[in-house]
Amino acid sequence: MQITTYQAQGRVPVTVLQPHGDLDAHTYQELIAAAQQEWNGGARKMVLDLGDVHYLSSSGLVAIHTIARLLRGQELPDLEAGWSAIHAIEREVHEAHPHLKLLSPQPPVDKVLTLTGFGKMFDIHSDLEAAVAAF
Amino acid sequence: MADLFVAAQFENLAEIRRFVREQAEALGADEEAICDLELAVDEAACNIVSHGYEGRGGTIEVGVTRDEDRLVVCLHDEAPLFDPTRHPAPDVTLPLEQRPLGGLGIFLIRQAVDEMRYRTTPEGNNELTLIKHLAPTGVPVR
Repeated sequence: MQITTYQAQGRVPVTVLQPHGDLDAHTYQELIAAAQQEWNGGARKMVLDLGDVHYLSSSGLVAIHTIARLLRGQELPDLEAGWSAIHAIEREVHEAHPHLKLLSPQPPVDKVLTLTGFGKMFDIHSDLEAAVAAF
Repeated sequence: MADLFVAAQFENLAEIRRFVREQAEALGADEEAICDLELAVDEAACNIVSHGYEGRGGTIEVGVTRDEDRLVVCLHDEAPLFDPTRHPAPDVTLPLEQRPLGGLGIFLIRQAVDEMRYRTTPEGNNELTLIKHLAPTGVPVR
């Protein structure tokens, strides 16, 4: 999967991750690896631009959850954990995640985010400037 | 209608989704129904790859048919027998925290399709049937 990364500057530096293609069980670990690489390079605030993701499965949700934990400096979850991973993030998050914003989910992707409650755990923006300014 | 046979590998999930989309489009499904079917079939096939064959390899057969206002997707595999319909359905009225643990994938399948049926075939293999009801305004079958 091709993943574009670039820097944006709001009140703080923000790294934008833009995966191109489908986020499924075959590709989701590539997104995690890209986020990990950015984290290792010093990135601490990220926007995940989902505008060019036309399909998101439960594996893609696990990738988002994993990046969310990474940005909190927490141990990464068991990638097979499924609901327990989501329970964990629910316990941790009483308001939208402070270090990860989601951008421009397409309707089928937005539906999966909503069905699983992810839509309540993250700020979702339709505009990059607004997403960057939200940090 | 032709069936798709693919090796049970994660890299083939995209091919399975592409096949389901093409067949469902040809059978007159609307875009929302197609997306729901893609999701359900992908999650089901993913479970077959990871939990059924457990990486040992095998095949998955996928067939798509239309029965009046229902689109029917059948998945066959020769992995050890597993009935995902016996997985408890989560009570979605409960907060996430209180829902029983279980497969996210099976939860999404239940959300995406109207019926999920399982049987063991006479040959002793798994057969999972996913059924999506189409809106009455769907394009009729020619």
